[in-house]
Amino acid sequence: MDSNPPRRGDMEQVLTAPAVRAGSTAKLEFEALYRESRDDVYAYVSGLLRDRSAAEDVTAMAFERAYRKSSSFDPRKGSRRGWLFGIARNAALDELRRRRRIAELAADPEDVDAASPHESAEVAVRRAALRDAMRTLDPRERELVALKFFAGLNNAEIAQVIGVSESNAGTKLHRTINKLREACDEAA
Amino acid sequence: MRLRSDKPLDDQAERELSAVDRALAGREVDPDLADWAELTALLAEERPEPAPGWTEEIDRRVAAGFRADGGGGWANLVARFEGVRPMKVLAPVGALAAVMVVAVVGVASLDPGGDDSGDSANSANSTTLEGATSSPDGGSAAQGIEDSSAAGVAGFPAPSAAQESAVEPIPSGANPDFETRSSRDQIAPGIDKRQVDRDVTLALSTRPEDVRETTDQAIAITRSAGGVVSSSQVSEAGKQATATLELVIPTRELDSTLDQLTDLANVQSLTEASEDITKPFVSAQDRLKDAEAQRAELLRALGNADTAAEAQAIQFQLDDIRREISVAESQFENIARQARLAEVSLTIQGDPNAEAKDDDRTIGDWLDDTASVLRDVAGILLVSAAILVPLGILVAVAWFVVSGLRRRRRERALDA
Repeated sequence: MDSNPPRRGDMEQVLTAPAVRAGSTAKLEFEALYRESRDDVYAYVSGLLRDRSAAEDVTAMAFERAYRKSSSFDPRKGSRRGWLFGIARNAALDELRRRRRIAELAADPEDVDAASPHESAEVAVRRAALRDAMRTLDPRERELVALKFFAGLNNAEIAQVIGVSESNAGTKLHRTINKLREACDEAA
Repeated sequence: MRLRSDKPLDDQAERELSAVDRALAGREVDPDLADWAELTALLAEERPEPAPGWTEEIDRRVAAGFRADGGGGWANLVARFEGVRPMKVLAPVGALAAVMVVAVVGVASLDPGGDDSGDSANSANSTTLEGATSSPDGGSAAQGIEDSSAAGVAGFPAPSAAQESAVEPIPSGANPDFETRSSRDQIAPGIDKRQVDRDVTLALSTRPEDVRETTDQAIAITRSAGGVVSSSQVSEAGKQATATLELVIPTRELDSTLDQLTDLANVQSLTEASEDITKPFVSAQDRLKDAEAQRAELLRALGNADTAAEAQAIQFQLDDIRREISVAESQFENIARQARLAEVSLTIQGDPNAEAKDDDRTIGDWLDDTASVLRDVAGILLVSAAILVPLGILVAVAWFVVSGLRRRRRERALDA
């Protein structure tokens, strides 16, 4: 029996110890999913809502819903990660509907326009062009960018989240990236 | 919607997307796709990162299993049920509802104060016989128990077939008692619509302290059967108590009422006297009919009378016949009343040695009750299924419609 209490801030230990005691496979699986996806879900939701505070609330709500709904996950319908992002997406869209406004996927922190002191002028120009280009995307395209580049989902998982086939998701994603490239080139 | 634009990507597009994936994974990309890798790197750098304070907070909440976490008990309850799919809930809720209905019916069926079925009434009668035989003065008591379904009633042997055939059938509706009477009431099997004057003397024994309550119950039973208590007397002196009741009960309710009365306490004696009054009933009826026919004839003759003297003579005859009709009506009503109403003399005797009524129940009684409950349960299950199955289909359809509408509303948030 482990008599050492888990250290504060050590998420791995804090999360694992009670789960092992409970002996619940579902809880273990959820905690593994949480550890793997916490920052990705936040990045996706934050990109969708463009509001840090709302993104934190919605992400927490999404994980809580996923925790309550653990038993409803069906592996035949896709990966657990795709299922989690589907829950997060619903929560984020509900928040968008509630606020009656569509967030832009600028995904910029407060100091987004401030160039890094070590960043070359050329990179800074490209970054600014990219941000301008992203503003030209419609909400669905910006969501694809958030799912792919912020959350790191593969095409199959993106397809599961937005409810289309994998090839359709790939087509949409390719078209969106191309659109970004062209907008960046024009800006450059 | 899912299958729209389902064409596979061309090779170049596949290469470019693959380059994006490789760049995201930190692997090398073909030189001609360097701009794709660069764009990927720039986009990845735009990824929002959570604040450290928030990550610590949500780590803590996850470790606690989201228990007792803001929003109070109601919010937690709502959150707990939020993850439950209606389709998964439907079957357990339906089963639970059916079980609850069955339980309620079962409890109601076992209620000793309820209206017992014929089965339990029959078992009560068998108990009565045992109780009567074992009573101190059981000799006379047992002999006093007679059943009207026997070939003859005490003092009134069943009429012969010749007598029965001589009786003219009474038109339906002359006495409603005939319509509901069972074959048990017939003096001569095979001959219907006989009129019987029934009187019952019933003696019950119970503990002295229960005499008053048993009396009240007997009165309630009488009234629920549509009868009246023509007289009642309750005597209590020390540990002695006796009640005497004179009851008038509709004949059609007599058997079921007796069943209920004999369930109240131990039966000391039960004497049922039946007299076949079909013949005087029919005679009185015929006499009334004849008189009415005669009056009608006289009225016609009065209308055809040629002289005042002739009319006056007919008028005198009419007066006589009216008196005769009045008498015939009275006699007929008296006889009909005897057939329609039965008199029950009920005595409830306090007996310190009397046992509680339920102690007399046998295994057979319990089996009868069990069968009755199972029958009720089967009926309730059928009715429940008839209600719950269509209801479940409606709920499922509604769930699909609501889910579809919710999904479309959510998607519209991205269309604006």
